Amino acid sequence: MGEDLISKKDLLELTGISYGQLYRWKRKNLIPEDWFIRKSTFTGQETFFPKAQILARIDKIVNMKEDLSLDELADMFSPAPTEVALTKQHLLERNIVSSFAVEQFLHEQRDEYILPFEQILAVFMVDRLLQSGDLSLDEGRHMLQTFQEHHPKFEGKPCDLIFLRKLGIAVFFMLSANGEVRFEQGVKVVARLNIAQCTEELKLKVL
Amino acid sequence: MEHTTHPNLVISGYGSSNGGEFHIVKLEGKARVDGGLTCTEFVSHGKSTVHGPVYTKLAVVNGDATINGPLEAERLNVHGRTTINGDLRGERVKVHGQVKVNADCEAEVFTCQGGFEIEGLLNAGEVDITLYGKGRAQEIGGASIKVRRETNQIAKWLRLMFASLNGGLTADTIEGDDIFLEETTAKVVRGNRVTIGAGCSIDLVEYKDELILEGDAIVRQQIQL
Repeated sequence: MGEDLISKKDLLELTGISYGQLYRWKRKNLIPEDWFIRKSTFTGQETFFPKAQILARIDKIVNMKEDLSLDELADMFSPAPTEVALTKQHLLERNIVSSFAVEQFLHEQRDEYILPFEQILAVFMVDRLLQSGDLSLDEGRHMLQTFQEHHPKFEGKPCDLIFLRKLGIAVFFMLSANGEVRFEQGVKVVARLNIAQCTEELKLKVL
Repeated sequence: MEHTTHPNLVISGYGSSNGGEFHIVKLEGKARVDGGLTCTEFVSHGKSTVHGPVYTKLAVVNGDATINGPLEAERLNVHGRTTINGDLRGERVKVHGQVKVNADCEAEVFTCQGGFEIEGLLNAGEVDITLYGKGRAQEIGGASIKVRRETNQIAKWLRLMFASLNGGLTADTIEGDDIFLEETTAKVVRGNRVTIGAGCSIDLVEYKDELILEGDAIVRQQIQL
C-alpha cells in the first residue's frame, strides 16, 4: 500500500472527535468498512485509515451534521443512487453539467422528463473529462455507453472506470474499486474515475 | 412496506415453513423456517431455527433460537439463548441469557445479563454487560462501556454448578470514551476515562484523562496520551 495511513489514535487527536463518535459514524455507515485497516504494531493491534480520505470525510461530517441528520449524511456518502427529481432545466440551472453536454448527450430526452440518477451521473462524469480536454466528443459517447451498460452490473458495489489510450485509440472499461491493474508499455491511462467518489460529489451538488 | 397486507405466520407444536414476508411471525414449540423472514414482529418460544436472514422491527426470543443468516431488528430481547450465524444489527439489544454472534454486532444500546460470544466487533453507543458467565468479543468499541461481574447468590451458585461459566470477559481491544471493567482480560484498552476494576488483567492501557485502578487489577503497561 503506497498511500498514507493514519492511526486511529492520531486521527482522534488531530480531529478532536471521540471514540463514541467514530464508532457511531461507523455504525451509521458514514465511514466505509474497508477504510478500517487492522495492523499489528509493537503495542498490539491497531487500526489505521487512509489518511487523505478519512480526513476529508470527517471534515465533511463535522461541517454538515448541523444541517443534515446522520441518516441523510449516510445516504449522501453511500455509492447507491439517490432519489432526486431533476430535469434538464435543473441540471443547467444548478450548473451541474454544461449546456454543451446537455445538448450532446441528453437531446433525445424531453424537457420535462425526470432524469434517472444514473444517467445524470454518467453525463456528469463525461462532462468533466470533456471540460478538462481529456476526452473527445466521440469518445464521450463511448464512455457513456460503457458506463450505462456495465455500471448496473456492479449492483452498487464500489467500482472504477478507466479510460486509456494507446496509439490514439481510446478504450474504456470498468473494474471493482481499488483493484490493481498494470498495462503494457505505450498505454496511457488518461483517467481513472472512482465512481463512489463521483457519486458523492454529484450528490453534494444535487441535494 | 404495507404490513397490514401481510399474513401472520404461526407455528405451534412441530412444524416448518419456507419463510417470506409476514406481519407477525410466532414460532412456538419446535419450528424450522427454510428461508429468510421479513416481518414486523418475530417471536420465538421454544426451539426454532431459521435458515436465512431475518429483518424485523421487534424480535423476542424466549428459549433457544438459531438464525443462519444476519439478523436486523430495531429491538431484540433475548431470554434464553440465541445464535446468529451472521451480523447482528439493532437499535436496542437486550440479552438475559446468552447470545452468540458469528460476525459483527452493532447496536445503539447493548445490554447483556449473562454471557455472550461475538466473533467480530461489538460496536454500540452504550455497552452495559453484567456477567454471569463468560463473555468474548474480538473488539469492543463505543461511547460508554461498562462490564461488571454479577456477585449475587444466583450467579455464585451457577458458577459453582458449571465450571465453564468461570472466566470473565476476554477481548483483544476495548475502545471507548468512558470505560469501566471488571473481570476482564484484554490486550489493549484505550479510552478517555478508564476504570480497571477487580479481576482484570490488561496488557496495555492508553488513556487520556484519567485511569483508576481498583482491587487486584493488573495493568502491565499504562500510557497517558
